[in-house]
Amino acid sequence: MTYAAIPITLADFEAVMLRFLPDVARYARALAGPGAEADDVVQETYLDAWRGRTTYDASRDARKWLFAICRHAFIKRYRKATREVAVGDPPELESYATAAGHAAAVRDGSAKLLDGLDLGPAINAAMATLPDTFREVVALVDVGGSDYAEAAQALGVPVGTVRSRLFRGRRLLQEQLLDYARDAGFRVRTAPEAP
Amino acid sequence: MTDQTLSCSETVRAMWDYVDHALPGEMRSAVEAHLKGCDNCAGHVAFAKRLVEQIATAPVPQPDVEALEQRVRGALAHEAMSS
Ligand SMILES: [Zn+2]
Repeated sequence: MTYAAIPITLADFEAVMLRFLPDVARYARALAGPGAEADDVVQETYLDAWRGRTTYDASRDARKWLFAICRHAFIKRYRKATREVAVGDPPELESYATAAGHAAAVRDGSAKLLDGLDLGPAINAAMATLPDTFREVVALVDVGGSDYAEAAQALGVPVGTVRSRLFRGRRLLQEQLLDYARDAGFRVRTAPEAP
Repeated sequence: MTDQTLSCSETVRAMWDYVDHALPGEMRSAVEAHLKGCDNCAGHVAFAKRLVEQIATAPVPQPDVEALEQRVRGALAHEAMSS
């Protein structure tokens, strides 16, 4: 460990860590869902990181370090306790249903429509409508880069539950994006002449 | 598993585990073998990968990021002064 590389002054810390604020904000919003809490999670992530700055190893990925702090802050302080809900379909059936949804979208042309669209806003809107149970697993794995075992440990549930919730969450997101594409395609096809 | 031949149904049931690199080696090879010969399943997997990539990278709107950065800088300055 090279101590000179630890961002020890506030200016150094900000120079190294604030570059990743857009990523941390995306992760926090995915974890905490719509509402002001996500911004609180971001602020607490940076405060915790500052307080723990001497534990940062400058040879490691700062983004991953911040993500771990963010995940911890969310789970310890913001995650709602009453979360155990009815089990969905087995993970393999969710996977099958996702492919079937795509097959239908290929047939009706909406899958093709997605190619030309900026999906960022649609993804953010769709994420905001996902039930917490599904959204937080999608956040951990797809946004945060955790594998199934890490996500299971973070949430205190079995790996099978992570897979089931993750696959369901992705399927719900896919459905919403395809609806969005159908709406957008419909608007393009039926747009009135400018007055 | 010694049988390397998967049906389309078996393949798409394993699709998310495959995309997440969570399949054991033999099953992974079996899925890959199927995808080489099946445009339909390969299309589903390509779409699934793209979906995950889009979820991972959907940006927070820039004005929100700028406001957050101001807020975080303020909180950090306060914390640095009081510690
Ligand atoms: Zn096939």
